[in-house]
Amino acid sequence: MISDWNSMNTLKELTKKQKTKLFKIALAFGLLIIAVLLPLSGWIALISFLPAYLIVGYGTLKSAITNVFHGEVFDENFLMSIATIGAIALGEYPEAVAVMLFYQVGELFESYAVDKSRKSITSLMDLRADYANLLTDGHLIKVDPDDVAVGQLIQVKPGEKIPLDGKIIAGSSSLDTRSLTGESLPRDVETGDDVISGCINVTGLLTIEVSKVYGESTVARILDLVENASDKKANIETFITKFARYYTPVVVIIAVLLAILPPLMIPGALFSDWIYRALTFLVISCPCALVISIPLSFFAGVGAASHAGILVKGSNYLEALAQVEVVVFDKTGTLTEGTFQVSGIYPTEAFNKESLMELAAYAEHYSSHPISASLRNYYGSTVDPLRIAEAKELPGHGVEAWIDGKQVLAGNVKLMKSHEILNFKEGLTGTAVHVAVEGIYAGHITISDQVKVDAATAIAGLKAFGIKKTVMLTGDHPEAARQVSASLGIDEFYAQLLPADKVEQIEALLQETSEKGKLVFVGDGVNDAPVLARSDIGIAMGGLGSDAAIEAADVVIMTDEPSKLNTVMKISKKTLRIARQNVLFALGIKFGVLILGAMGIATIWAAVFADVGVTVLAIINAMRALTVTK
Amino acid sequence: MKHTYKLEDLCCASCGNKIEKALNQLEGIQDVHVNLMAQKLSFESELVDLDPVLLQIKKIIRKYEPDCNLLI
Repeated sequence: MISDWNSMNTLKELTKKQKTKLFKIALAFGLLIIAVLLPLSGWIALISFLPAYLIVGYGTLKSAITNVFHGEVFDENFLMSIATIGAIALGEYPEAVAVMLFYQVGELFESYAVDKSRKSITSLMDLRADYANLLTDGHLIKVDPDDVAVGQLIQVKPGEKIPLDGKIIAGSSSLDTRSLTGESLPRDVETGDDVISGCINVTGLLTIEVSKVYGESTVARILDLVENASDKKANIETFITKFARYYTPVVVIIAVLLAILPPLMIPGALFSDWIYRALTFLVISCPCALVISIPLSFFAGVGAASHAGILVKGSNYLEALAQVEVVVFDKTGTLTEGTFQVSGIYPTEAFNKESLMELAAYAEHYSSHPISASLRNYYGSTVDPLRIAEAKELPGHGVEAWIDGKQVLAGNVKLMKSHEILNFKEGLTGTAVHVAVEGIYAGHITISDQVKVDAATAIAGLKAFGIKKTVMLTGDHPEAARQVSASLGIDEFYAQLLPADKVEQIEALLQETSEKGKLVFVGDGVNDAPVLARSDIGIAMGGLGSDAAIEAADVVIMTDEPSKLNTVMKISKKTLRIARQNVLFALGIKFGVLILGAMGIATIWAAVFADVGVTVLAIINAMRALTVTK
Repeated sequence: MKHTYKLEDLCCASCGNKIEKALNQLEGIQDVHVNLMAQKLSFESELVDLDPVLLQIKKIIRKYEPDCNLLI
């Protein structure tokens, strides 16, 4: 990113206005050198510098005059004009031209740098497809994605980006979702699956029926969200804005005082000397560096986050993420997969794990219950339907089947009791499938909700970050909650909560956090709207394809990985650090040069650096927020 | 209803802030946001005919950032 600023393409990227400015600067610079080298003095010297001065200064002078008439006195144009005219009056001709020249250079660089940064940031989220292949009457026509209507068919060839949201009606492939999720693992899709715009089709040809027009597609919504994130300003931004409003008038007033008072009060003080010092003040009076680099840092931070698959809806949220004290997690679907998985097989002495599993899988073969699905998945091998003579589903109890001619029961404790099976395992707190063959207990299989693979690293990461407390809320029963909480190292958990209880719990936790500390809630967005709203920062996971999640939360993690929370907090801290660096740097240099200028040590050249140079450096520093170290 | 317009060539951040402040004082529009990064102006308004308020907006923009164009 920064490295491509050095390429020869730079000239081609300038707009017409910028090219004209560059030309004027070059011309004026040339004339300045000539004028400096000519051994002239007095009136003729002044005239030799005038062309250079007017070439770079005319626009500024003109704006200064029109702006004063509009009522805008304390603006850059006016101040630069006064400063340079003052310099000319003092006979400092090269300085006058130089100030105008460097002011123009600064302006040009600023507009180029901001343009370039903007492009860098938006290109990171290279989500938009330039065209869509519309399938009409058997022909493929290349059209603008904007022109495709709902219900029309498009084709996406391998290597192409999916331009619109829709459903696959023919073909299967694997998709690269990197631009949306930051994930490098491809997702397999087949006919009947819904796909999202922004993904790259990797292997197979896909025919897709469009379900949303471009304006409402996932890509459009994401780009919109990221752009509008700059609307919600961070506290440091509003501080700088307020500061800038006072800074300029104060510096100008001091400049005026500097020009007038010391010469009148201190015996032997030269008027010209003090006016020169006052001029340096005028040159530094513009707070540009601060005012442009802070929003730019946050824009870069938001861009970096979305490249990692995390949508931050406001710069204020990005800032707040660096001040988190408490993180509250929802359990099911957030820290756990939300699906059922076989977690343990406990056969009785007469049986073994394989036979128990086989019995359960065969018995549940025709059942549509989610638990049956987990048993079948775990079993893995193909079931020979000929071995199953009959299978009966007993709602609320389980199934009864005849396998290899023997009666097999698979279900819960109620099933065992109603069939008078003896010696079955009682008092289990989790979900279990008990199996009995011909009236004899064969053992049980425990089913649990799997903890996500990266949940433990996520929690460990939060602790390493210095988060004061991690909390888990769930509607599930206490034993299941305790197990998950203990295995992940979570500080507190609250179980068997109804939705209203969750909000209450958040309120209680909010009371405990300090003034500046923030409380984050992480959930799946769908059922957690009130809780998300109540917390300082609401984070929804699994945003990919979930409109509800994107709407409800302040931050949306496109994948299902809790560890992304750590990533966004890292980005947040880095962005805030860069913003603070810029504030300290800009203010430090400016005040330093102001003081030195008042003492007569700093020249106008130093003042120009304090203005232009600092702006340039601050912008470059702001761009560092774009890189994320994993 | 929310309205969004492009602000071409808006590059001075402090001018952007001044514009936002001044526009917030205008009658008929609320929740004004000047987004320097995206070069966009957005606001909420219940007015059916936006032309008179757009004229005022253009005037204010011209006052602070003469080089900036409001694209409708």
